[in-house]
Amino acid sequence: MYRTLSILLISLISICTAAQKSTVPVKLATDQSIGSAPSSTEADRPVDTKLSVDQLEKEAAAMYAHHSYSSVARIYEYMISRYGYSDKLYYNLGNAYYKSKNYAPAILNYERALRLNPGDQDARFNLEMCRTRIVDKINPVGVIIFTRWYQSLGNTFDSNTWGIFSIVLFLLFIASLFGFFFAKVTWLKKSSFFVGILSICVSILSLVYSGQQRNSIVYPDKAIVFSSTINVKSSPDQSGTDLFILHEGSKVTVLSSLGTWSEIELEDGSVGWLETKNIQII
Amino acid sequence: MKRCNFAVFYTIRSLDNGYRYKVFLNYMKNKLILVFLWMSICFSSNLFAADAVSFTADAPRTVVIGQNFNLVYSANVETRDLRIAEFNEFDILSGPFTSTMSSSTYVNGQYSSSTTYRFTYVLNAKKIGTFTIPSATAIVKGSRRTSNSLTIKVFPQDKQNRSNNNASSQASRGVGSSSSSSQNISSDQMFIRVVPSKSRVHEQEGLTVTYKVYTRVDIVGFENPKFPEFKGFMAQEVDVPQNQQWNLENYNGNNYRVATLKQTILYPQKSGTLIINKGTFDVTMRVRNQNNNRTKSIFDDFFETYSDVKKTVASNSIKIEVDPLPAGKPKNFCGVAGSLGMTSSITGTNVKANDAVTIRLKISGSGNLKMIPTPNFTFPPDFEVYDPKVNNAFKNTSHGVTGTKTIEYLFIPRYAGTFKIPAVSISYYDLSSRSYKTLTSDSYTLNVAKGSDSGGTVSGNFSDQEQVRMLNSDIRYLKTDIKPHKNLMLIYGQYWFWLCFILPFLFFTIFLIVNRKQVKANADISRVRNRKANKVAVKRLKQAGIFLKAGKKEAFYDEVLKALWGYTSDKLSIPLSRLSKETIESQLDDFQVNQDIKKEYMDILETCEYARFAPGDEGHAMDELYQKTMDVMNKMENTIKK
Repeated sequence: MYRTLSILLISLISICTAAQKSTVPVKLATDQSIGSAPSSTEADRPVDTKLSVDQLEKEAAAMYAHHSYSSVARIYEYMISRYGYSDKLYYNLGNAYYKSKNYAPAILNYERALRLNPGDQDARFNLEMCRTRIVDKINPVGVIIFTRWYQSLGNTFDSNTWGIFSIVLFLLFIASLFGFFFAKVTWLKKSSFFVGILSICVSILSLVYSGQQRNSIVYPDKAIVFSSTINVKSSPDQSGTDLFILHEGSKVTVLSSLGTWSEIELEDGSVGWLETKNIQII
Repeated sequence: MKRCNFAVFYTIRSLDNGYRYKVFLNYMKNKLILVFLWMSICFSSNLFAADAVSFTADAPRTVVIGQNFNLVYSANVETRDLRIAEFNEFDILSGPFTSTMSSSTYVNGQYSSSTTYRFTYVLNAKKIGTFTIPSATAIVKGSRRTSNSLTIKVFPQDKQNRSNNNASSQASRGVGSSSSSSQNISSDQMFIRVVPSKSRVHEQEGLTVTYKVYTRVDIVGFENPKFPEFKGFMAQEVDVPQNQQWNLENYNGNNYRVATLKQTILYPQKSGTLIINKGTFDVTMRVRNQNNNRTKSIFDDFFETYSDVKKTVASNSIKIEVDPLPAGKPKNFCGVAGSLGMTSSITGTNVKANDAVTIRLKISGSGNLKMIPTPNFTFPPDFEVYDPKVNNAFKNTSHGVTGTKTIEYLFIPRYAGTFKIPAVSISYYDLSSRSYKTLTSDSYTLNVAKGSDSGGTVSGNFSDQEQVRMLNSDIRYLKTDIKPHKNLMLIYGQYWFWLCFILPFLFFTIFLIVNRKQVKANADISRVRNRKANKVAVKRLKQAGIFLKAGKKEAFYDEVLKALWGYTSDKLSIPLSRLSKETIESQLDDFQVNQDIKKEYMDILETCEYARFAPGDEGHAMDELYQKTMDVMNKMENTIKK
């Protein structure tokens, strides 16, 4: 009996370590370069490529203080292309675009920052500021308050935090199972029962949230309109009936794509087709 | 009362009009006796009491060479012994003629009178240039007094006259009349000139444009003046005195009488070549009728006829070159080119809350002052700030607009504390140093003490609490420590992530299964033993019965004890190691065994242990004990089973 148990444990541990070795880092599916870089009226100073990340960051902050926002945006874009991304970098880039009054790229970058770190209150605040500046105001269709609670709770943490949270709670659940089955004292038995029920429920919820957040990163389906005005068609060709007009900065959900066309859905439920070049996937 | 007004009155209307003067002289010669007669009357009524004594010299400022003019010394009291200095530039043709003008009024019971004594010389300029007539002295009211000195500009003769060298009486009449016909007045007889003070200026730099009328004929009036629009300029009118004197001016070799029609200060608003267009005027001139058919009569001098002629005259158009202001305009450039100064003052820096405070800003100087904006102080948001009161005291002079702009900022601090009011600054282009200059006011630190509670608060009984006021909204600032990374590690969906759930669960399940099995196994053993307890005990007791019959006392007790201990151990699931009287007693209590049975049981145990090692009568006791044991065990079996 004990022998079989120990064999099982050893084999599991070896699998576990093997799995850890073979973790494949997730690559973001989106193209990092932003199509419509702002046309800068200021003197186009090339980014000094010799600077380190910290120096570039300081340089950008100094430029930001001097109100040369398009230079700031250029530095951050360069950092993304060279050193990779982070939620804070997207946030700062969004700020630079906002200040230079390029609201569509600003919204795109805030959304990207939020996708990586949904709990970022600053990015959420700035995104709301941005949304007041764009043309389209889309009212989401009848979302009941519980759904909103559910969504906003899910946006409190990112995928990894929810995952770790879920594991911890699951371990607590296991511990309370032990307590329930093996405790000799009655109150311990009772409390473990309730703790166990609660922790397994929250653990499952966290797991669901973790999965959702992860899917939004791995399979992004939200996009921002970059063309200043675009007619959304009823079918994926130019001769299709014009259904409605979208303006720069509006957020859409990509349902499917066919050739160079994408089927999009607005938050108010309207569905239509537009050419994929007009939007940028978050 | 009868109003008396005697006056000996003679006048020379146009002193520069030589012709008229000649007429006058002729007249004078005839009337001289009459004049002296009048004078004597005046002396007889010599009743004045002059308070202030004045003794002045007077002559036209500009004359033409060869032209006669009057030099008049006048005093308001009786004057004797007039002595004039020598002057070489002028010939004294005649004089001095002395005359007296006296006037006395009696109005509403107030009697006043004045007398003027005049000494008139007739002079003639000999040379061209600017000359000074030195001051003269005279004994006025008993003491010797000195008059003012005069400066006289002598112009050359008209070109025409010079070339003609015409010594006729017409020519000697000077500029006042000419040989032109009444119907046809050429443009060199009368024209209007626009004279700019500068022809090349900077943007916003003021220049004065003067409309001057040049004339050699008599002008009766101007009608319907159409001044051009000053396109590209900001114009400020300069007040021209209503009653203007004609001044003599030599222009293009001719002497003209000149008057200023209009003077305007212009501030160019854009750079480039700006043109001031022609203006038109309807001029009415009085021209002497010339009757060429008639022979010259002796009365012509006295009975000349004049007629009014109307003519539309256009002024010339001029070009002004305007240079742009140099680059590097400061941000707070106010659009003034000139010279400015700024001072600021405050009514007090140590005040109480709810007391009104005023900052007074004075900007003074010259330039296009209307362009000066009202600078805005940045007051703390808590202050109650009123609209600033602006007072402009500007004066348009021929040199430009000068004056002072006074701005009063009234505000009321509502809360105690120390507040800073930063300075304001404006910039202007300084024309003298050709550079931009910035004027900065003082900045103030205001110490506001708590105001008196009684009358101060506006809100009455309400508490002073208020919501935090949002002044503006802006996005939040940049984040630091941005740490970019190429790859994003997501734990969800990894093998080990799922293993973290599976492993603990597996561990628990296995543990539970193993545990359950063991528990079950243990439970089986005790049950068997429990079931068999009676049997074993009965077996032991049977053996004890055998020993009893054999009379083996020690073995009998030993066997009975074993039977009892073993039974309780099995029945009550007490391991042999923990077996003692105390544990048995407590366990029996747990099983709710009757106290009598328990006592009996414990007695037997004690008896057995005692009797084992005690000698004495055996047979009967052993028999009895045997029976008792059987009895107790039966009872116990029944009780525990329940």
